[in-house]
Amino acid sequence: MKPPTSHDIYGNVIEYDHEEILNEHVVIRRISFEHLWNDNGVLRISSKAYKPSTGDGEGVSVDLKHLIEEAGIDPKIFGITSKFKGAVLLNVGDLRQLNLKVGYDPIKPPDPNPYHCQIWGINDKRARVLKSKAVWLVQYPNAEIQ
Amino acid sequence: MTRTTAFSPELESVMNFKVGPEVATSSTNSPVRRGNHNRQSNWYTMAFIKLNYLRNLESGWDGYRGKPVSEQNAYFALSMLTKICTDDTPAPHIIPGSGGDLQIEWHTTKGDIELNIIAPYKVNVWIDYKDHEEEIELTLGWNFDSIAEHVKKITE
Repeated sequence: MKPPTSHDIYGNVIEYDHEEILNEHVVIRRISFEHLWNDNGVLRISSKAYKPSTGDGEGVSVDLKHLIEEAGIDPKIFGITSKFKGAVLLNVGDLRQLNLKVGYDPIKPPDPNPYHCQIWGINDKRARVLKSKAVWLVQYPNAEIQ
Repeated sequence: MTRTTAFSPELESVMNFKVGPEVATSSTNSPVRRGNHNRQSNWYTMAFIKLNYLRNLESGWDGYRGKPVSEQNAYFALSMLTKICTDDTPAPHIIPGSGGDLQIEWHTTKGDIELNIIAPYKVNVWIDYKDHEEEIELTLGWNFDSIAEHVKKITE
C-alpha cells in the first residue's frame, strides 16, 4: 500500500482518497465502552462513535480489514482487548457513495498500526447514515448495533 | 475528605459562582428553571461524575488516538446543561469524541436529541421526534432557549 504523500505542518495526513483502497474493501471501527449508552439494560452505539473529532480536516480512524488479513492476523482479534471489546465493519463503497474519502494513514511507533486509515468528510448527518450501515465484526457484549 | 475533580480550582469556583446568580436573573416565564437547585439535581450529579471520568480518559481510549475530553468542553457542557435542564430532566448520556469533544444525548419514547459539542459555543444539534417525519438540525451558539424547549418536550 502506497504511503500518504501530503502532510500538514503538524505532520498530519491531509485528506485524500487512496486509489488502492477499493470499493469492495471493508474497514473496521473499534468500539469502546465509552461509545455506548445504556438503553434500559441494552447498550447501544452512539452516533458519536462515527463522528470526527473537531470538524474540518479531521477524520475518523479505522483499520483496513484486508491488510490485517494479509498480515496473517485474524481481524476479530486485532485490536480487541479487554477494553476494546467490540468492532464494526463499514463498506468502502458505502463510504464513497456518501462522498467520503478513505485514505491510508499508518501510525508510527511507539504504538504502531500499519493498517490504520482515516475516513474524511463525515458530518453529523453522514455519521448517522454510517451508523445505520455498520455491521458487527465483533459484537460488544450486551450491545445492539442500532 | 477533599473532593477531587478533573476541573481546575479556578473553573470550579467559576462554576460555583456562575450557576448561582442566574437564579436572580432568570425570567419567571422561562420554560427552564435555572440556578442552585440544578446542582442538587440527579442529572447534575450524574453529568458531573461522567464528565470527570471523561476528563481522565487515557490517551488512546478509543483504540486509536483519542484524547480525554478537554476541560473547556467539559465545563461548557455542564454550563449548557444548567441552562437547558430542569430539576426533573433525566440524566443525559454523555459520549466522548476522539479529539477532546463530546456529545450529549437523550433517547426517549418521544424522540431523540443529540448535542454534538465541537467546542464551546459550537454545538451541532439533531432532533428526531417520533411523531414527526422531519428531523431538526441546527447549530447552537450563545442562545440555548430553543434547545431547552426541545429537551423539555422529549424528556418530560
